[in-house]
Amino acid sequence: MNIWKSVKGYVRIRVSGLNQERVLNRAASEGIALTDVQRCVGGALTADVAMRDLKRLRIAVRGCGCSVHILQKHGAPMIAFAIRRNRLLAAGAAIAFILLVLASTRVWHIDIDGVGIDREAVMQILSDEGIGVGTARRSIHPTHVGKLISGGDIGVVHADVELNGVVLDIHATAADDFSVTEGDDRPASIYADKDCVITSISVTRGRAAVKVGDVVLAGQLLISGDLSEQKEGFAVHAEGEIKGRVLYNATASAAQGTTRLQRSGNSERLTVIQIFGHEFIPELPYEYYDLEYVSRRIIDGCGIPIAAYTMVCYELTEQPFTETAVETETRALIAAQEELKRMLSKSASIISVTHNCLWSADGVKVYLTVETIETIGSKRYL
Amino acid sequence: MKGKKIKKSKGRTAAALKAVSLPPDVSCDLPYITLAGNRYMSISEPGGVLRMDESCFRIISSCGIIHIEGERMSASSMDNERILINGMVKSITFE
Repeated sequence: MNIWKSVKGYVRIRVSGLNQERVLNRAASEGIALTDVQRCVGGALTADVAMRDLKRLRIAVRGCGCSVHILQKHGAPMIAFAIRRNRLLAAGAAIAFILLVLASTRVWHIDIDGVGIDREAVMQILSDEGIGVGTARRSIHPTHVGKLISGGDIGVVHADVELNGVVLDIHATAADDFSVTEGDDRPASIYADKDCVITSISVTRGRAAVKVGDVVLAGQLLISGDLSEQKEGFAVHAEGEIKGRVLYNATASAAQGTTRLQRSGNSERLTVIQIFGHEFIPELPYEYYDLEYVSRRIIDGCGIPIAAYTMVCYELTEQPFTETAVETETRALIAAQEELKRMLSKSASIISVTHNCLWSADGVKVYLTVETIETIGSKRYL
Repeated sequence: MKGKKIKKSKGRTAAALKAVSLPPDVSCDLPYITLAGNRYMSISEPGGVLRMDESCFRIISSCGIIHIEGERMSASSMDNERILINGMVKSITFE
């Protein structure tokens, strides 16, 4: 609202005389919007009115017994009026604007994203095609560039190319990401990739080598693509879904702590400025610290989103502390859970979690057991 | 006489709206008064301003005069559709 007001230009006026409210009513009835209407100490009213409405307001207040005086003029028209005689400044502003417009027609950054991608090879393909930093945006055809990268024999099977403003975004997929590609008909069998108990098996192609309830070990054949007993030398690309119950074990130890990081009593007040969502945090005074937000203030009126946070940074130091048995066990359990998280696959559904604690003179050892049901099996070509 | 007729007509409209289970504010020409805590206040369709200073606003509306008392009050925006009041609103009275 304030930005729009400034772009259009506005005037701060003072209304003095008798019955100043009549001026407000006449302005409203004429459809003239007044903003920031305030009563001054001397009894006069001050308000902001759009520059284009000033003439209408002057006509509307005739006969009210009040007078309207201009206090200040603000906004872009005023700035343009002020710099019109300073030719150098006006020329500088015009040149800056033209440069900005010209710069926005070119690519200034190339962002290559993807696991296992040789970025230099991709850049070489782009430079062979005449694409680099400073290339005109209209000369780049994303689909064509994507095809060039994927057909460039650099181990990329697919590349999404997109122009986002002055940034050329390339998201490439390496050939290694596709262990088994769609439409692959080469003869293959499916083998267990971990020890488990089979809970379900559905075979789309091939011959089941196990049944529900079987205990299988990692590397054991689950669905065979070799059908030579039906016909000599006949083999298919085995397909199907096998689910199994898998047990995961993790252990972690923790000694009963005697010291702990605690607040030392020293603290410092910090102010963090946030502009466009980016935080500018001042240098923190302590090696170990604890931050506590105190207040948040949005600074408005300057046209851009700025927020200021006030927070207190407390110094943390190692201080004597006797940990309880439950706290030590919890610490060990968290460490075991972290270890287990690294082992679990994303498709696993956890069906039970159990843990046991074993105390010794050195501390506690936690044994964590998780039971999951998950898809198992990996393809190997015959 | 005319005022009575308008009152009667409004009463009938309200009764008719009630009969068809519509909220009465659909066509009774009542002003909408919105408060954000005690800091911001918005009044739609104001008829005019009778008095305006830091501690008191008196605004004409279709339901009479709205008397607002408070501290450090000012009108951040004012036109024929809406008045926005900033400041510490302490009380609102309908006269």
